[in-house]
Amino acid sequence: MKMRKKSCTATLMFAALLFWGTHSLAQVPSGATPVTGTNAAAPSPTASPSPTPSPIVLGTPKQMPEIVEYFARSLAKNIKAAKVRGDAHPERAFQNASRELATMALAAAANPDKAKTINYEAQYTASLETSRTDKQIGSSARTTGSTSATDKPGIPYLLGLAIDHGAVTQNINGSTLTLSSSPYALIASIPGNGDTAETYNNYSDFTRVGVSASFDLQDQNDPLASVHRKQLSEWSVKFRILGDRSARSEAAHTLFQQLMLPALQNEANVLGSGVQLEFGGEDAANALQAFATGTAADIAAYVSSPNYSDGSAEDELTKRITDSVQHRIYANIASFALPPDQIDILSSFLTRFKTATDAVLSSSNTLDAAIKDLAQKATLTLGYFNERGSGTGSYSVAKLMFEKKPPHFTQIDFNASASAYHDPNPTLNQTTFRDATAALGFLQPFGKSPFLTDPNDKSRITVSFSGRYERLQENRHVPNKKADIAVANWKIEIPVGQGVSLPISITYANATELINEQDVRGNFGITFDLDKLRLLVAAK
Amino acid sequence: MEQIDTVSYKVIQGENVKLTVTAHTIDEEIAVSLDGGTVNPASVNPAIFNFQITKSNGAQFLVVDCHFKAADDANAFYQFSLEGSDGGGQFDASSVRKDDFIKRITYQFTLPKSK
Repeated sequence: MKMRKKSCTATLMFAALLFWGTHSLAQVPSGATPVTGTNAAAPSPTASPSPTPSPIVLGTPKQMPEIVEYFARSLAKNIKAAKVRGDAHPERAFQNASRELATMALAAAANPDKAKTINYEAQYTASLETSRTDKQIGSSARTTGSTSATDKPGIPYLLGLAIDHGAVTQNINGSTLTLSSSPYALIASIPGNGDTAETYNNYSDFTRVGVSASFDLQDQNDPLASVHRKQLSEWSVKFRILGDRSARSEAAHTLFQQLMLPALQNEANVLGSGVQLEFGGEDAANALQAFATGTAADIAAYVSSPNYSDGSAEDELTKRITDSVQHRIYANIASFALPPDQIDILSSFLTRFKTATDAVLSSSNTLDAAIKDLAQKATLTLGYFNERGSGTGSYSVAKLMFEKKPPHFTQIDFNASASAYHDPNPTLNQTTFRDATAALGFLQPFGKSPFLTDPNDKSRITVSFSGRYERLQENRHVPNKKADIAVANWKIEIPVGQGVSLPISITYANATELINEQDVRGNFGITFDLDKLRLLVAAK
Repeated sequence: MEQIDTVSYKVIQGENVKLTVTAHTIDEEIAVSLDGGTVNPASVNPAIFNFQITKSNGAQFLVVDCHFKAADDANAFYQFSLEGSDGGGQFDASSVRKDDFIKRITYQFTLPKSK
């Protein structure tokens, strides 16, 4: 497939001259000078055409160029996905990229041997959220059903739900239902707000705050029936002290501007200049509009017809798009004639565009790595816990939770807390000061869970070991009780489904708060991380 | 400005056009180019891009290139609206989702036929 350079007939020359006279194109180099609020790169409307070279009509490819076929199939997948998710206008997926496709089709006709394939953006997965190990979804270490000796500082974005059975620090067999969320989720759910960049910008401080409530389970067959005040065993408010490490943080935006924006802007400029070069003239613009409108109508008719089926949609849509390229662009190629110098520019478009898209991909990977590093920076959270536990009076706990993920080392969690009774009972040897604790945990992620079938779900099996020391003031000098309580906890958490994991732990304690006897017990639970579940469902 | 479809519009020379971006569950990470020239945002959160139609005939093209990080919500999407100074109101101007293969929109602004 080589471009055929024809000598124009007098008639064609006349038509082309007319075309060129109205075709006020401007060759805009990639990375054109930035302007603010106006389009400095646009050609002057009053510029007089210079002596007009003879336009050249591109040769019609003998077969559909590989890159056009590839692009059309990709658009077909988008259209089908839009149809499957119930979009009212699946054809809009085509319309968005119709000018890009047409530019590629003509560039491929101008120089079919170059840049047969362009690697577009990688398919994203829900990997980062699903691989998070910093969130405390289950109940805190003090509740009757906890499976953990340390608490993690991360705050659920949407809603976490966990059921724990067992006890780490108390000699009670109990089950606990824990619900956790962030006030930001409530603000974003208000009609008119939505979880937009504007809302996040205005209310991102609320993502620093997490709230949770744990309920003693009465009926394990109907956990939510226990969600009432009488069964409330703990509520907490957490405040993230250190800054936002999320992908929407200011730090992440700065990384985007430094690592990504230049490449993205260049890609947009290369494409923009290419489309303008080829279709800026009146005839070409009209022919382009006819191609886009006609193809979109074909697609809309097909996806709403009884003939549509998900099984054959990709092939059918690809064929309709490439047929339209053939009939509306290649069969009408005279509408897109260009002067020789602009043909040269067009013929290098695919090469320049491929260079630009490659740079975008490379920058995107660099940015993703930087965002991952950002997420692994140290986290420090201050928590207030109101305990209404079994066997003791109500008390308040202030707790600092620190987490660090050093490179090539396990995740480290450290907690330090102190608690005070609201209404100490002297007959139980209680004073206002109740206890002080320190806990240290190490968490190591291992391979992907064998129970997960969704390739987007990167949840990994994690194993943690933690130790906790508690100085319980009221147990001093009391027979059969111990004031210095040490706990060692080994835990494995296995993802068993989308956003669902099964924590199992074994705990050794030199004593419990209630009795001076060594204790070894097993704990298990189930956690539902709706943040992960939402992302995985959306990724389908 | 008159809407033909969500990505094509009839405009007149000298018309000022405003593109408004609403980023859902994502930061504003977009680049905008008019005929190959960078258009910087006039404001952010929401991002607003203003530009002027300078040609007298043919068409001008606005490329809106969107970026999504791997860490961004799988539901993330950008919603666009366009409004011209010559009237017609504000138009729904399509959207780009994280799972779209092509994460760009090219808008066509067509000028009246030359006489």
